[in-house]
Amino acid sequence: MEFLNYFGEVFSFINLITLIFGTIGGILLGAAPGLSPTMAVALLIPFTFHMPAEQGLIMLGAVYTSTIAGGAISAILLKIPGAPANIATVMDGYPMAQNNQSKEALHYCFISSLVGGVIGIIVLIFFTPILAKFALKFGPSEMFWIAILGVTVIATFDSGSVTKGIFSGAFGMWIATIGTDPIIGVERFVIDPIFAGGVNIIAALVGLFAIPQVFSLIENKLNESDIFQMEKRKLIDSIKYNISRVKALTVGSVIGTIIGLIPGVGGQIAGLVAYDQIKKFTPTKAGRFGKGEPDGIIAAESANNAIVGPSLVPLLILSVPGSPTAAVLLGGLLIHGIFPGPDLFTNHPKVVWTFIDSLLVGQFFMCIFGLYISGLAKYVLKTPVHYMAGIIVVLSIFGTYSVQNSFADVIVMLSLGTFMFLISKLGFSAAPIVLGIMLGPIAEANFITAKLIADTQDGILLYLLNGPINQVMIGLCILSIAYGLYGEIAKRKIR
Amino acid sequence: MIKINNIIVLITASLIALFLFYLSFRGGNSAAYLLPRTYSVILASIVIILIFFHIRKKNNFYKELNLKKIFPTIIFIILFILYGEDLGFYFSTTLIFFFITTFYSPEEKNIKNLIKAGIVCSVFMCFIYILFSLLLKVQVPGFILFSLANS
Repeated sequence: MEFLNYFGEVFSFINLITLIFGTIGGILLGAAPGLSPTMAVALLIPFTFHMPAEQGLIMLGAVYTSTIAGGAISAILLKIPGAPANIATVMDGYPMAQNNQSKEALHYCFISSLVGGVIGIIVLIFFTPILAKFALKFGPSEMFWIAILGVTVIATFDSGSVTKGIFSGAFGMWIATIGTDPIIGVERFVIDPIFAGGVNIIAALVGLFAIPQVFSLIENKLNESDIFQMEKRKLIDSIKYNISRVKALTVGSVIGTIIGLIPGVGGQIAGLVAYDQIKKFTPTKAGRFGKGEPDGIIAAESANNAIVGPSLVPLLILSVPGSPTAAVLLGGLLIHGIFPGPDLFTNHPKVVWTFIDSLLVGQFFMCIFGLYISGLAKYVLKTPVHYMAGIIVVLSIFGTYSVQNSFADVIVMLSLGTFMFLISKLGFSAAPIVLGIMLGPIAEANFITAKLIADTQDGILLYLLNGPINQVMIGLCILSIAYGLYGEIAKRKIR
Repeated sequence: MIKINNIIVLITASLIALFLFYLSFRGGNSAAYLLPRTYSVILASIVIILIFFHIRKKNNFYKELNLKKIFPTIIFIILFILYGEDLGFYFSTTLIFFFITTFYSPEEKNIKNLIKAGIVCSVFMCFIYILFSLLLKVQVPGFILFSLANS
């Protein structure tokens, strides 16, 4: 029950203000079509750099949670999912809005998100220390494979093509080798002294996620349809109905929690699987799904918010993010000098537990503010996309520069971003590159340590392949690639 | 509008892999370059797999790129990289913001709309100035505008 010891920290004035500000900002960012949670968190990381670690992480955690819930606003009112996680919400949310039930749909969205989110965070609180004790058995070879596994799973699941995903991951890991070698001290690929320390993580993060979004916004202007008028609906009626839908809430929360624990699987999968399952669990309502059935929204929204907590379990203990947004959050931890790993809860108990507790409190704030803001959402939804694109560019430039007052970082950010947009058109995705850049140094440091140990024993190859944990990790890498390839082939057959 | 098919994907992936392979094996201390070399070999291997898939017609990739639409923004980004530091961040980013909001606006480009974009741009840049220069005390390249705040 260590998490209770730090609960009071969340309610200190500055942390509480940060949490409220992050939650409201996150809902607004999520509601804006085209701004995904991953991009919102990436864009905010430079700002949190100037804050103390706890405060910075509270801000990022609040934005992570609330952008997913906020994304449902544009999914319901505009038929444009604010985030990929809200794809399933569109299916019944938009028909409900067409049936003059938009306010009711938004109520269900935030109440279900609260239920799913709280269950997910409880799993995070109780599972993480257990896994941490197990992870203490990990040595350099295991940590090396964990880093490889992290890149592999994201490369496999967050990309349309496994081969392109792994290409992106390997490219990111290559980028991570730019700079001074950690053991010998040799400079590698350093074209300017500013790169001696390697490519700045924040510059890479902002560039890879924010700049391609700008190009996408200006290339494919989103069609803004008329906003629906909000009907009069008592909140208490929505709460009563929502709580009575135990089956939909349970299906969504359980599926979201399980999927969140699997590294690399995003919220969109959780929402879609939960939506599909609730259809199967309620055959009597089968014909009503897709035409404005509240259970569809309740299952999808409880699932996509339930993944938030569990997706952080492998991230905090093994550095393996459970979702692309968790991968970006890893960058937020690293810039504050917090290296995820088995001893995280021993070295930084205050920071980590305050962060986790803030996620729990943030769920309630997300519901309260979400219910209020959703009524005013039409103003956010009306923000023209060309203004949005301009705002993202300016924030990216100033945010990146502010980290270490370096114009070279801005150049890296803009160049990587433009490059990313162009290669995204070729089917390559940003998340494996980012994860390669972040996990590359962890893989390299552990590989070198493993090599030094192995040189006194049977050689590096045997050292890396021996031991049950290593073999399980290698097996999981192969399994995730095989599963991804199977999915890719199955998709082609359907086509 | 550029039509992107699998051949373009293959050429680009091959060029990236070849370039990184060349850089990694160009010389230097072999121990320090062990991992970059490993990664570049993996990249080259994946390109071979992509070529194999293409020959077996297992890839049917197709996308479109509206280069005409994004080209002006790319030019502005290049100009910012070249002259942004000399011109100062506030001046150069104001130009970028104003350009994006007016050039990509679906509204008619008349004086009234330009003034409207100018007002939005000025208000937003004031917010940026308050946030970065006054609150976060970030010393951005100032040029003439706001140089006093950074001194």
